[in-house]
Amino acid sequence: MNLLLSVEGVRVNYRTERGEITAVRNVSFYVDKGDILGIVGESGSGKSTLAYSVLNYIKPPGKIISGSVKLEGVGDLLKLGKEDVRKVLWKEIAIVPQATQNSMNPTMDVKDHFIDTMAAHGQNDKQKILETANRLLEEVKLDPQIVLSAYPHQLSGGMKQRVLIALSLVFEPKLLILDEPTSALDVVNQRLIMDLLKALHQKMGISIIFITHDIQLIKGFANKVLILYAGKAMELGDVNEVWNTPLNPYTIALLKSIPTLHGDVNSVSGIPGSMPDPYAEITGCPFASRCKFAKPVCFEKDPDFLEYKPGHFSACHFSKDIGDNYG
Amino acid sequence: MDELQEVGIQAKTSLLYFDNVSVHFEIKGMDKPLIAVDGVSFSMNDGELAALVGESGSGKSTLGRVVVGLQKPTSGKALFRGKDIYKLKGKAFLEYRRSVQLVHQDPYAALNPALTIYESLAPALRRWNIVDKKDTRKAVSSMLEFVGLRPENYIDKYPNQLSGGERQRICVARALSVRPKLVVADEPVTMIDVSLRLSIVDLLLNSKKQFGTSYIFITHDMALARYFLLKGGGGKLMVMENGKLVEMGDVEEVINNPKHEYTKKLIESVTE
Repeated sequence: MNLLLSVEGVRVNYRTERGEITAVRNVSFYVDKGDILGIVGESGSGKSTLAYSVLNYIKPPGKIISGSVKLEGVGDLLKLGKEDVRKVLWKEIAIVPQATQNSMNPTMDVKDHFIDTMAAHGQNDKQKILETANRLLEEVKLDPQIVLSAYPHQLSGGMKQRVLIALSLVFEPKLLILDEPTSALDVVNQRLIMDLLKALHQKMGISIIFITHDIQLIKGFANKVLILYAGKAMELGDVNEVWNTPLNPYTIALLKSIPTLHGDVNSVSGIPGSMPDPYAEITGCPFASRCKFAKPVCFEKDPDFLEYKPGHFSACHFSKDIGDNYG
Repeated sequence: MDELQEVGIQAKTSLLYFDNVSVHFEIKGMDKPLIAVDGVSFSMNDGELAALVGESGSGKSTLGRVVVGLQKPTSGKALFRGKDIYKLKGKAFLEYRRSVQLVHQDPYAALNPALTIYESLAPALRRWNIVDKKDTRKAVSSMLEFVGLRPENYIDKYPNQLSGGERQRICVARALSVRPKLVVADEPVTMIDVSLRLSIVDLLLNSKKQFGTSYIFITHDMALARYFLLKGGGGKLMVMENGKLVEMGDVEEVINNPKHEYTKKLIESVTE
């Protein structure tokens, strides 16, 4: 009823000269209508690949090996042909890619970006396009009078990011995916973008998937969080619940690796070791070699992603013990 | 000598002494220069820790470059051990060059991709005669150990075989290998994964503990600046806005009781 997107068992491989690597390992998650889902992962965790596989938009040498992505009212996007996927893009799901600083055409002004995008999807009425552009630019707190005739180089990083958010909303998609939208911005602009997205979410009722390496940005913004490590979904649940009673050792260690403004500096520390080599075959849990809870079973068997409490999933052989003792 | 008397005893005894330092950049087609650093004054003693915070464009990196001798100030005094950095010559200049090192933000750009780790680290040791030639490999190995990398796994590798975190450890090893008195670390963990950041910050602090290295830690992250200073036994927080040092003081005092509006804004923008 409330379900908007349901992703199940998605696996994505990349073929490279040195062999095949798995970027996303059987990841499952879902988005309800009105959700803001934060997808958190470090570099190489597969978060961007996962986002693009939701759109069935993985280009060679990448390949979606298995899984399904069911969008309410449309069906399994992974079964659609290229042309049908294109119809869904922008209108049902829009994505604001990473490195937005470079994703505008330097030879086109902002107005032309709106015209180009909307014309490509069948809207040719210039008057209507300009009305939409005006309204959306105001929505992202930009002055259309100035910005519409500006070229990308005349805009700051934060302004470009806001133009692209406005552009992604032209067909009022049900789901907006943002890939690291604030990573290239300083803290003050970061806060501005987050506030803006929150306001858009409330006003337009749009659902959001927010991809970031910075778990701190998620709190107070998203209502749900999915934690990825080395392509594997480690934990999924309500943000506050995951924060206060995490069920997965990686989440626990990750939360402990972030210094705060007022906490005890001796209670935080980095996670020892490093990510597994993507070319190495992982038989057990990908986090086992860095995990302080690890037992022999962790190196032999990859833990399943299971629901331990209503809506709270984790992939760890010891999530039940952790849940009993931690909270 | 006259200059020393002029600026007083503090200038003479400090490791670093900046008085009213400004950096202006002339930009083609603009009638006014861009003021990157605007009348900054501060000093640092041996073994002291400082963190420089501010948002992008506030002038943090330019100030850092003045400290390491890469950016001559337009006006003001920049003294190292009582002597003007930009007037140093001969042996004194070389000694300064060795004593003050820089760790860059981007570990992907800071290592020559055509050189092995050994080839990247050895020249600095040779250049400053830190060890006998025959002991160079041993010295490189012990630096790798210091930064938590097993020498046999890394010494003959190329940068492209290493992750960002490993590369940054190599950069730290290189900077520390010449036994500097002061290291300017410019956003050293910004490009590093969250789970690895604190281990690298701790590495810098280890050298402070073991060798008394002073640090200017440049970051946009107030909480990280606080971690660096408190974990290192305390130090001063310097807040920069539009080229000006708008607030400076003990880190706990500044964070718990910020005086300047800009400092308050930076603190508020940290999510907890």
